[in-house]
Formats: sequence, structure tokens, C-alpha cells
Amino acid sequence: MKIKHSLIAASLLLSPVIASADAPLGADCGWGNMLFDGQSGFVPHILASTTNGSTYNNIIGAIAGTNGCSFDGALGYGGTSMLSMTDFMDDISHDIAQGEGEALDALMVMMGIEQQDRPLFKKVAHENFDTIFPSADVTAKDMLTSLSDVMKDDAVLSKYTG
Amino acid sequence: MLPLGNFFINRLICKLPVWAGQLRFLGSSMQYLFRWQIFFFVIFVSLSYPLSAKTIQSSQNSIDSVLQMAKDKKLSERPEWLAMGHYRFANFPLQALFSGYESYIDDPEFFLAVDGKKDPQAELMATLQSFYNPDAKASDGQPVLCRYQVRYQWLNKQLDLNLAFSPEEDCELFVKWFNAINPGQVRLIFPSSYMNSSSSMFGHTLLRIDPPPGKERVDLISYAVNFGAILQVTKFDPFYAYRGLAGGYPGQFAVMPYHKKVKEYSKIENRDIWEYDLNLSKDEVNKMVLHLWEIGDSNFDYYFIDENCSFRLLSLLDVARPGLNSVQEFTVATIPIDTVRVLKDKGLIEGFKFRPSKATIMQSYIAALAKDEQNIVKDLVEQPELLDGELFQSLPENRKPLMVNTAFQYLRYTQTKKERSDKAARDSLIFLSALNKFPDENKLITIEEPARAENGHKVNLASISSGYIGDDSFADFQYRLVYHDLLDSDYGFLRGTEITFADTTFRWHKEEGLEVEKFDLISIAAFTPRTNFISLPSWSIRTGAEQVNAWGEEHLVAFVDGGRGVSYSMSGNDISYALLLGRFEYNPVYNSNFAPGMGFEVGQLWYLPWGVLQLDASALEMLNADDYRLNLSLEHNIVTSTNSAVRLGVERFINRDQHYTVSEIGFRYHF
Repeated sequence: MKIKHSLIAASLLLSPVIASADAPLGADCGWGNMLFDGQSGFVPHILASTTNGSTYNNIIGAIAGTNGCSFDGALGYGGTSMLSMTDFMDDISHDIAQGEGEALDALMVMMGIEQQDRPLFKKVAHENFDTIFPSADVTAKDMLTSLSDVMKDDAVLSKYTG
Repeated sequence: MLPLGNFFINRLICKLPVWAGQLRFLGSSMQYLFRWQIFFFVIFVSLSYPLSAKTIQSSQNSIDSVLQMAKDKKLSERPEWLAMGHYRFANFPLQALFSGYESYIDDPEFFLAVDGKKDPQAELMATLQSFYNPDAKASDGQPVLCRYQVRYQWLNKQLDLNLAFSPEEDCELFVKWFNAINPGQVRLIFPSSYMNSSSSMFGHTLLRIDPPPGKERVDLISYAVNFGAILQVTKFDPFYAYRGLAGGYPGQFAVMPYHKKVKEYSKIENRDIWEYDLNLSKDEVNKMVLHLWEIGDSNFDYYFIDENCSFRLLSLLDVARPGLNSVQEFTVATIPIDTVRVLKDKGLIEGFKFRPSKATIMQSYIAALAKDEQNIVKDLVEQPELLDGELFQSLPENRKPLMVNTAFQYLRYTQTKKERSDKAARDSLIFLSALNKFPDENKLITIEEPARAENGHKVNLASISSGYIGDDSFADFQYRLVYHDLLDSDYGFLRGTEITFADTTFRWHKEEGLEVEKFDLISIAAFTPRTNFISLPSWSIRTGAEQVNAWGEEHLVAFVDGGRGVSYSMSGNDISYALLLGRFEYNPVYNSNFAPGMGFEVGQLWYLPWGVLQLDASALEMLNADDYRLNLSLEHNIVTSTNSAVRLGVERFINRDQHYTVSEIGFRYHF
């Protein structure tokens, strides 16, 4: 089961999924999200506090993927798509810079990194921060691609990249 | 459009069939909805063939005997069934109109019987009949058995239906959804109030579904269950809040990845989040999730005061654990923190986790720095190139990482709710890259947990007090529906905040007898001390009716007043404030009854170990009325227990024609 897990992760990190990120998944899916993106959609306080308006109005929508984003490529527990990561890319960058954090933990789970390899993953990501985030204009897709390149150069982590 | 007109129109709209409400409120997101409905339709049409071909069959019982048995056992009166249909026994005024039960679900598509909303028995019969009909579809096109699995499980247990039904084979989309959620445990999520917005002081609650114990759990990628009003935020609508209060929006449950909620609350709104572990068993959790599936997109009317997010979540838990009856604990208002209290009292809460907001984390980092270090951080944020400057380079090595980390967090904080700025993004990365280069030690600090809101004072208040106006004695009786004023014990609350609702004081006076002294419909204040890093406005707003002395006469006048200004804290245990005031009142004494006023207010709050002390001075000029009002008051709230306090006050009042002193002492009880 675990191996299968990491294989799915690998397939995502490999070219097919990343390359196809623009096409079938569509731009709305978040792969084009940039580091330190703005928070669009100003919600007046009173609205948020009285009605807790939510952007997902459906029991199924958020999981099957609204906005035309594919259900496939779901991995990690709970069927969370790697797309989720685009929502907390800022936190991932912060965590990689400081060496630890919840967002980094989530990323490792979503990528299928096994328990015993996680300290190494953290270390490698930390040491290659400037390679993974070469500029502030990287997109989620860029980030995953560079991360994948960094992992390929590591004897142990390369297995997750296929 | 007049607000009143809106009220009725919206009430009507909520009673229309579901699609009409969605058209009205969903706007452009309809496209997606339609797309999904078509998708579901296709899925279920294709699914229904193998299902009907299989011909669902009963092992022993024919449909008639099953129906009879259900009647004999009075299943429709069982708490399990009533909880599944969200039925309540109609309250007194409604009882006169309708007899018996009524469901909170305001959506005919949820019910299988035409009169299912008001007739649990008819709904039960229709459910059983449709279970025996292989072609029966739910309103969304699913086979009935796929949608109403909780009903099936329970009815099967009661009546031994033993239909040939296997969700794994018959309900593909459901299984996909269920497996994605991977339910095992449930947590109650309570985002508390947020900085400078007392209107969020009530908090909010949602649920998070986590994997079973023993399985890997990463909170961010678990799923959250939220109940909220359905609306499309495209432009500001001044009636939003009003509609939220009056029930102008339909509400629905929604499932989404938890990190979306964390982003919304922790990052954008700066609200600390408390996550409470609920001790539901795996079966109970499954039942809840199945029930969520059967509710689907059904509409409930959304009311901010009572039938709100928290109330609905409790109804889910009532289905999960029959007999819990937590909804029944709430009649008038459901304050989110009270749902935590009720679940705690009922023994459901086993542990908790604190998730500080980004702003709370940032403030802890700032507090960990000395004053001159804070100033350097401010300069760094302005000019990140100072990182290479002489001053920064000369600082002790063990302090640099903390300062760079703080600079990053502060820079991100300044970008909250803003569009992306290239410069801010570049500078943010400069700080991260610098932070990354430091050795691992000294980068992080631990964040202290504040007092938990459920351990603070309770929501309702009654107080009795007596005192003197000049030489005349009086007695006051006060009842407040909710929640917290500036002087109430700050344990578990944000300092410098007030929100009260329906706060009424009756005064008994020897000569005048009993009369209404004051009715504050709503009163909100938020005094957020300004610091080097945070500069939010301080403000207050109040509306209601109160006794006012003017031109030598006392009258009950309707009023609205508000203030805006600044506040500061010197020691951390005090808040000084200064506000410009505006007021508008209807005063029959004045020549022009609609009287505007302008003025200012200054004061200070001291947070002493035994309670809050307030010194306040205000001056108000009543425009066009040849009148003014000066107030000087000193009030002290001495906390005697979590839910009780003694309050002392002395006030000097001066207007054009009068001046007098009021002194008062009272006992207050929160319940």
C-alpha cells in the first residue's frame, strides 16, 4: 500500500502531471499560483461574522474539485490533491526556510514521503531553499518541479521521483 | 428598497423551491452547480441500470407487513428518526398554526413524502416504500438507498429489511466521496474573536473530520464541515448583516479542505482557533458523515442568532449519537462558545489543541524582542538591504534569526487582504532566504496559549444594584441576553472589546416607580492598542433607548451613537483611549426632535488582578438644541467568581440645566 502511495506521488512529480498542469486541469486550479499571492475577494467583516459565507457551497464540490479541476491525481490520505498545496505555498516556503512546520509536514504526507525519510527530506529542502525558490515569482508548478529536481539528486529521495 | 420590504421578500424567497433560492443567491456559481448536477445525473442514470436490474428484494418481509410493523413500533416518534429529519416539536405560537412536528430543513427536495417537513410518520412510510422500489431516485438523481443510508441502516436494524444493497457496488460516487473523507474522528473547531472586530466576538464553529486513530493525520489536509449562508460575494450589500439576522439567506452544509478554513480564519481574519477532540466512536462518526451525505445541498434557513452555524453542527452530532439531544439545550440564541460548553458538559470533549493565528504568532515574536530590536525590525521591513548593513551585522548572532523571522512575519501581515505586490513578494523572499542561512537554533519561539473562551464567564447576565442620584435612592434590575462589556472579567476574552445585545435595565424609583432606564439593542466597542507594528482604529457603536436628562426633563429617547479614535497601552495591563463621538437621538424635549450631537470621549481601562477599573470622561454638544452633556465616571468590576462580580460606580453628570452625582453598587451574575 505504502509503495503504491509513493508511486502515485512520483507520478505526480514526474513530467506527465506537471507538464499537463496547464492543460486539463486549467489555470483556475492553482498550479499557476505564485508565491506570496494576494488574498483576493475582500469580505466585509460584518458579513464574515454573521453568515460565514463560504466559497464552496456543496458537500461534494470541494472534494470532487470545483472549477473544473480534475479528481484524478488525488493522493495523500483523504484523497487530497496536490492542488491543495497551492493554497499554502507561502507557509511551505516559510517552513522550508526555518526547517520545520505544519505546512511542510502536510506537503510530505501529500507527496507520500515515508516516515523514515522525512528528516532527510526536510534537511534537503532546507539546504536547497534558494534552488527551490530562486525568485519570488515562482509558481506552485515551478516549485514542485525544482523540488523534484533537488530530490532526484539525492540518493534516497530520488525514489520518490520515479 | 425598505428594509422591511426586504425582510418579507426574502422570507418568501426562502420558501420557494430550492432552485429558485439558488438562482437568486448563487449567481454565477450556478454554472458549476448545474455542471455538477448534470454530472451526477449522468453518473446516476448509468448507475441505476445495474441496480434496477438486480431487483432489490426483501428476504422475508413484504412491504405491507414492514409498513405495519413500523407503525406498530411507532418508529416515527423515536429520537433517532426525529434527529435524522431535523424535526422539532413546534413551539407554542407555531403549534396554534400547525400541529405537531416541523423540520428545520426548509427544502422540499430533502423529503421523500410530500408533507415530510411536517409529518415524520409520512416521511417514514415514504422512505420504506421507496426502499422497496428499485427505480426510486432521490431528488438529486441518486438511488434512494445511496442517499439515505443512515435511514436505511437504522430502519434495517429496527425492521430487519435486509435488502440486497451494497454501497460499495451500488453507489460509486458516494464511495469515492466517503473514501476521500476517510472519516475516523471528529473535532469541533472554534475560531475565536478577531482583532478589532468585536462583531466576530461570538466566534464560529465548524467540524473537522480526521482519519481514524492510528492512521496518519495532518490537520491541514483533513476535511472541514461548515454550515453557512449561501451567498455570492460580488459587491457590498448593506443588508448582509440584516439578512443574516432576519433569515434572508438559505444556509447549507459544505465540505472543504481544512487548510482553506485555516487560511480564512488564521491568516486573513487573524482569529485564533481552538480544536476540540470529540470522543465519538468510529461508528458514530460514520453515521454523521453518512447523514451529511443525505442532507447534501438541502437548504436550511439561516438565522444569525439561533439557527446558525453552531446550532446546525449540533444537529449533526445529535444524529451521530442518538440521545445526545444537544440541540434542545438552545432555545433563544446559540452562541458558538456555548456549544463547546454543552458538549463539554455532555462529556464529548476529551482534549484540545490551540492554533494561534498568524497575528498572534507575530505578536509573540515581537514581544520576544527588546524595544531597540523591534525598531531594527521595523527598519528592516522598510529596507531589507539593511540586512547587509553594519548595524545588523554587528548584532549578536543568536538574536538575528528571531529578528529576521519577525520581519518576514510582519511584512506578510502588512499584506493581509491586499493584492500581490511584487516588491513585498521580493522582500519576503529576501527575509526567508536570510532566515534559511542561519543555523537552526534561535529561529523559533513557543507561543503561549491564552485562556480558553469556554472557561470565561457565561453569556447571559442578570444584575441587581442600588444607589443614589443626589439624595434620592433607586434600585436597578438588569438583564442582558449576551455577552460581554468592557468591564466584565477579561478571562477568556479579548481585552478592550465589548459586544452586548438586548441589554435592558429597569429602574425603581420612590417617586416614579418602575421604568425602563436603558435598553441597549446592541453595543459594540473595540479598543485595540496601537503599537509600533499594529495600528488599527478604536471604535464603538451603540443603539437603543435610554433615559436622558435635557432642559430639566427626563425622557426615554431612542438613540444611535458611535465613536472612532485611537488607543494605547503603556504597561500591557492598561488601555487608554480617545474617541471622537457622534450621536443622533429622538428627543421630544428639544424644539427639533431629531437631535444630532458631537463630542469626544477619553478614558482608561486598568486590568487589575481582581477586575477591571475604568475612568471615563465625555463631552457632548447637542447641536441645534442649546444643550450639552458632560460625564465623568469611575467604575470598578470586582470579580468574585468566574460568573459573578460586584460592580461599583460613581458618575458626575452636568448639562445646561442640571448637575448631579450618581453612585451605585450592584451584584452581577452570568449564566
